[in-house]
This record gives sequence, structure tokens and C-alpha cells, in this order.
Amino acid sequence: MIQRGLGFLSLVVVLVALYMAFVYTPPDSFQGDVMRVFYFHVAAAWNAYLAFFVVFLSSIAFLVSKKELYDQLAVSSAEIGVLFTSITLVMGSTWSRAIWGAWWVWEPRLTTTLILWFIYVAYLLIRASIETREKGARFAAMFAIVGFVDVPIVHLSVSWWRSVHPTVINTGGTMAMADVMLRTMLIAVVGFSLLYVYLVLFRYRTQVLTDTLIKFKNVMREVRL
Amino acid sequence: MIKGILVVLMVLVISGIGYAEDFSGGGNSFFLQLLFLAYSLAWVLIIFYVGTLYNRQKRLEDELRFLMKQYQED
Repeated sequence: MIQRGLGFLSLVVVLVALYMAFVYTPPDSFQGDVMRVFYFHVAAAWNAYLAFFVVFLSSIAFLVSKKELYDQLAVSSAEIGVLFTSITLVMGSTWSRAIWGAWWVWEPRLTTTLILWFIYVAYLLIRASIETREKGARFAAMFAIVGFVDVPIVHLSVSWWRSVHPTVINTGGTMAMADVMLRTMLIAVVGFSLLYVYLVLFRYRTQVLTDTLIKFKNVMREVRL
Repeated sequence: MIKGILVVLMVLVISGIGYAEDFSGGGNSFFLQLLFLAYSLAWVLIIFYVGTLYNRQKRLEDELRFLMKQYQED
């Protein structure tokens, strides 16, 4: 019930954000209409960070407490994080084609984001490839903790290296956009954050079902023996 | 249902890209097409993922129900 309510709420907020991105906000004076990609691109990137931060915290909690719940939460959040990183890359790539004239540019922000995507795809593959459930979970948790190092690198890459990627906040700490654009971006971030929570709950339930099924099969095998 | 939504979305993407060309009068059409493409691809990814998750969950529930029934019979 809560999950459905959350799904509905996220849909409403995302639709409001879409309206604001396409109708309420005027086109950018320099980039024109292509600037509208930015609102959902930033929202997706923010949620990818959030998702991987949850994976990081859950992995530490799992290694400390050995509670299955944290591992289930980590794998759920990692999958949603990969989804949001994919959206960030796809939307960014189309924007790049319009503004920079190429679908892909090997500049620091893009390269580190692609590495981030590979890290968490590898995390999911590791989990799937190790046969023992507990061993796989433990190894994946350690991998996720180390892999999270790339998140601050992605965020700071624009100031550490010579990057052509635009920033939301200027080096002086001021916002690099007009108020109307900032409002739209914040609504999009809230909408995608609600969508993230909804998807994590959805995915978490699937993981619980998968684990229950494995345990049940083992019990049945023992009973038959 | 999810397949249906995806088909409708793909039709919207194709017609939307064409519409963007007419709408701009040819001047800014390429940028509008890219904008439309970016949002469409994002939604295709989300809907495809939710659909896959829904199917996976349904399959697991069915399998669990079947096994529990079998367990009770045993």
C-alpha cells in the first residue's frame, strides 16, 4: 500500500517536473531548448550518487552485523544506481552531441562516470557469478565499499582536472543558473528521489522473494533426503 | 501491459522526432530531436526496468506458491 502510494506520488511529481522542464522554464539564452535535458540529467545523476551511498552504508552494515537485510538493501540500491547512471550517461550523451558536436567526449566527468557505471555493473556480475550466497555477499560488500571511492572523484573531477563539463555551483559557491531553472531542477530531483525510494522498495521485495525461494528449495531438498 | 506501454512509447518517440522537425520549421529541428530522444530513452529505460522487475516478482511469487502447495501435499 505504502509502496503503491509512493509510486503514484513519484509519478505526479515527475509529471510536474516534466511540465516545468518543457513549458514553465524558458529556453536557455545560450544553449536554447537543449538545455532542458539538464533538469532530468542532474536529477538522475544525484540519485545515482544517493543509490551508491546507500550501497556503501548497507555494505558496511552487512560486514559488521552479518544481517541479510543489509545485503538485500545493498543489491537493490546498486541495481537502481546502475539504472540512474545509465540514464545520466544516455541523456548527457545526447546533450553532448548538440553542444559539443560529439556523442562522447573523453573528458574527466564523463570518463569517471563511465568508470562508476562499470564498477557497479561489475558488482552485480560478481554477485551473480559466485555460487555461495554468503561468500558472494561478503565479497560484493567489500567491492562496493572500495568502489564508492569513485563517487567523490566523479563529483570533484570538474575542479580537479581541466573539464569542459558544466557545473551547477560556481567555484565561488554561487548557483550557476537562474532561479526559475533552479526551481525546476529541484522539483525534478525530488521526483526522481521519490522514484528511487519506490524502485528500491520494489527491488528489495524481489530480492527477499528470491532468497526465500532459495531457502525453501533447500529445506525441501533436505526433507526429501 | 508493459510491452504495450513500450510500444506506445516507441511510436511516440518516432512521431515526436518527426513532430520536432515540423515544429521548428527546420531551423532548430536537430536540437529538438536530440532533446526528445534524451527524454524518450530515459523513460524507455525506466519502464523497461519496472516491467522486468514486475515480471520477475510475479514469476517468483508463482514459483513460491507452487512449491508451498507441493510441500503441503508431501
